[in-house]
Amino acid sequence: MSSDRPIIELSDIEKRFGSLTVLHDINFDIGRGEFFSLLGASGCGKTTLLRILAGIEQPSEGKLLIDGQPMAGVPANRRPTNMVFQSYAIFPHLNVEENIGYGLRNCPIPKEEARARVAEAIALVKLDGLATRNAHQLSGGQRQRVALARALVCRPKVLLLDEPLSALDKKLREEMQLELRALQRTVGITFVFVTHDQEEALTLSDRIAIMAGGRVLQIDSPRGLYERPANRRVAEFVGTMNLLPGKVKNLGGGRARLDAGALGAFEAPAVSGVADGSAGFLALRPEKLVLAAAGGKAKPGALTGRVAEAAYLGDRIHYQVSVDALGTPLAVSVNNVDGSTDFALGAPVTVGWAEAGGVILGD
Amino acid sequence: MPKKFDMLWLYAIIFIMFLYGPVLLMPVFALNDGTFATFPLKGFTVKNFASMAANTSMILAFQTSVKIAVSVAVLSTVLAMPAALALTRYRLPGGGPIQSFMMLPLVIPSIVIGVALLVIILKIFGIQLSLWTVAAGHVLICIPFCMSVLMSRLEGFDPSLEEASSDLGCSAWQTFWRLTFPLALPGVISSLLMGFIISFDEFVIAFFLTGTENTLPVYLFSQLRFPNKLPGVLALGSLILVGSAVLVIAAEIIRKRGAPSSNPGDY
Amino acid sequence: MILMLALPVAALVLLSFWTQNGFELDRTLTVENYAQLVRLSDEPTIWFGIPFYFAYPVPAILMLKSLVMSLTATIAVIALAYPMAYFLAFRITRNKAMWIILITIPFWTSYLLRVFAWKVVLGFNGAINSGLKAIGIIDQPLEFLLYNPGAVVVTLAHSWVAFAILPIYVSLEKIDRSLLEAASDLGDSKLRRFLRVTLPLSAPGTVAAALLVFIPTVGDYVTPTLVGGPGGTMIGNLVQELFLKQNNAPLGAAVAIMMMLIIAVVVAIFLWAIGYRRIRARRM
Repeated sequence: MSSDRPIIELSDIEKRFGSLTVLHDINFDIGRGEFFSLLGASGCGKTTLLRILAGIEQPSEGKLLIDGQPMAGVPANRRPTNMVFQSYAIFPHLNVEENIGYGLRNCPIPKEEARARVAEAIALVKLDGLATRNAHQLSGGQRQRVALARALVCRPKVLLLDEPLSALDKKLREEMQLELRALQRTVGITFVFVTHDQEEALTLSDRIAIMAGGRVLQIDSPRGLYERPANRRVAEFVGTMNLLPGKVKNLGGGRARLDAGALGAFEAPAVSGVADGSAGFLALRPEKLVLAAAGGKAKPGALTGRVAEAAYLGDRIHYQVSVDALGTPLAVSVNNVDGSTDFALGAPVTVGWAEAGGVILGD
Repeated sequence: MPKKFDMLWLYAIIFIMFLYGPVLLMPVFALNDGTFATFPLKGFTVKNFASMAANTSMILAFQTSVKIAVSVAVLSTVLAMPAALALTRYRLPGGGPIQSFMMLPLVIPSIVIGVALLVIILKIFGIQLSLWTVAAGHVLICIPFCMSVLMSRLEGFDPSLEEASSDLGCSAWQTFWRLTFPLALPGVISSLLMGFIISFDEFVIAFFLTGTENTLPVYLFSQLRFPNKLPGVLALGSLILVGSAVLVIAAEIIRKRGAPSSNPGDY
Repeated sequence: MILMLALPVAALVLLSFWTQNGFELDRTLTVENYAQLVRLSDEPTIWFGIPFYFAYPVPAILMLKSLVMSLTATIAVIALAYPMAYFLAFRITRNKAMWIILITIPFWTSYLLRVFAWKVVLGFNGAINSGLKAIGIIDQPLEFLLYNPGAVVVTLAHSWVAFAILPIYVSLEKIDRSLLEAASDLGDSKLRRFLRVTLPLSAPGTVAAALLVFIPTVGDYVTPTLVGGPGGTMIGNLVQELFLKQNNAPLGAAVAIMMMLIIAVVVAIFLWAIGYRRIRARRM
């Protein structure tokens, strides 16, 4: 079997619960050693897809290959995958060591090696000294580490993680994100990570699949998703995005012009698949926008408006600028470098951007 | 001391007295040196308890009851376990109706169960009445209790525990023995105790279904008619009360103690 | 498993369509037993001023009597159990488990013995009579204490009250305390709050408790036998007598089946009358 073949291949996967279809037309591959995230709001089907990979649920249609092997009819206990559950599912009647060693009893390895592997796993997730602690004496973060060690100790080909950080508080979560990423690099196993937290997905992942309504909307690197969202839904889901609606004219060479009526016309790079003459948007990230006092030197294509709302965040200041002929105010985020970016409420301002800062995309 | 002593507290105390009063009179009179259960008390004696040792028919009935109660406890727990598992683990189609059906013996008057079993055993199958028929009747009424004890234990678990076990390579059978059974153990023990207590104390069904041998309650009932046997009955009754109370308390403590909750963040 | 339960009941139904012919069991299917129960006669048997136009009035009279006695006992049980359940749910903060065990122990101890204890209490030479005599309040034992329907009702209420507390307690315990705070915040006095929030929300548990007491007590056998005397017999005694003494099992089966059907109808009417579906649907 060639080692450059994807570790997971999903083709035409569909999942129905009764008359409800929760997954449609799932087709993608996950590469070896990748940190791959499934990102979406709750109910988008991401957890169901993960459970299909684990073998806890069976797909209604379609084919799943793991390491080139078809997985139809292979139960969860025979799959080369292990899972970290959202609730961690730490066995309450066993201590840390016994929890971690649980799966090894099902592997044909000698007892000494099993013991060594458990010790190694305990060290890996930094639980030294807690081996004989009971499950109910563990904190949330420690439970998470036990769950991780328990899944890794069996040396699965793919580690599945179902929102493993969602039960932790913010500070611990950020710490664990870094550890998780480092751990993945250390062990080199493919991680499939389910989350509804886009920041978490962007921080951790090599690639992210954005899911909504049981479908995959886009698969790309964090940078690709953020900079060049495939359509309006992805753009709205990842980060904050200002969208100027209009009509698209394809200019060729990956560029397009958006005719936004009273606001004017804007040229910008376009994502692939934006049809000539269709309705589309100029998408502008808040941090790509530049604010200036009205009446000064306005940049080409700049919009004029008034400051409707300001939020001081310390390192940055977030403004809402209402622009005539645009229904929703523009979100603008500026660095708090010196006093030059301070504007009073109601102050007239111009909003500008570099041409490469925007992108034209479809609905 | 209660923070606030009010009418409700007073009521609670009177209620407990009402609940326990009549029952507690039994040991009081059993220890009284008199042939009638009457005030004023005559004096302290243990002769009523001492004379029990010489009462062979009573000891025989006691042994019979213990034998039946042990078999009933084991049988009904073994039968209730798969049912409880099926109802808590898998959302069976029609699980609701099945569950209510299982609970029927709780609300059918036991005399109806008694005669119904009598009919099926004597008239349909033509089996001789014996201790086995009593045990069968008791298993029937114990199963709902055993099931509800086991189910309340099993329901508390995160379903992902079993998924995790399967994910870590365990077959369904291994998962049962390595995970489900150890977790359900406190429930199993209290189910056993409960089955034992119910069977040991049950009278109506035993009365209908027993053959020539008596269980202890049937024996007791037969003695109630004779006033001169009263002190002996009181002594026996007191011992049964104490024994049952000890078992109930043990069952409750084991049930409450059990492995702590499996919910994350629940320490 | 289901078979184990369904089979005896089915057998009972089958038996009720057979007839007893001396010592022989006639296995031809007939509704004779039921006919005997409802056959009318022109001469009514008067019982407490109520005329029963039945040729064989004993079952009908006992059935009505059993229903009335059970109902009285059930009302008494709920009236006794509700304040106790309320006390457990709202007043006890520490040692809750201990209190619950304290309440449940009597239910698990021998039913026979608990009933017998009342015989000791109420009897001609029982605790009350001898006690009152000893302190000089009465000269002669009070005969009205034992062997009458009243004694049966008291004993039934005592025997089942512990069982009724639990469902009521659970439904009270489930009430979100912030609902009560909200009611107070919106201006309800303690009493109004109890009537408008606590009582309706605990209704499902209370109804369940009432049924759990009412249904088994209608057919109770031990209590009327031990403390009922001739005046306190209930329908369960008749079933036992027909089976074991009069050797007319088919008629006994018919009486048992009729009893269950009547209980079912009474319960159904009761649930419909209080709108149980609505009460349950309200529960979140």
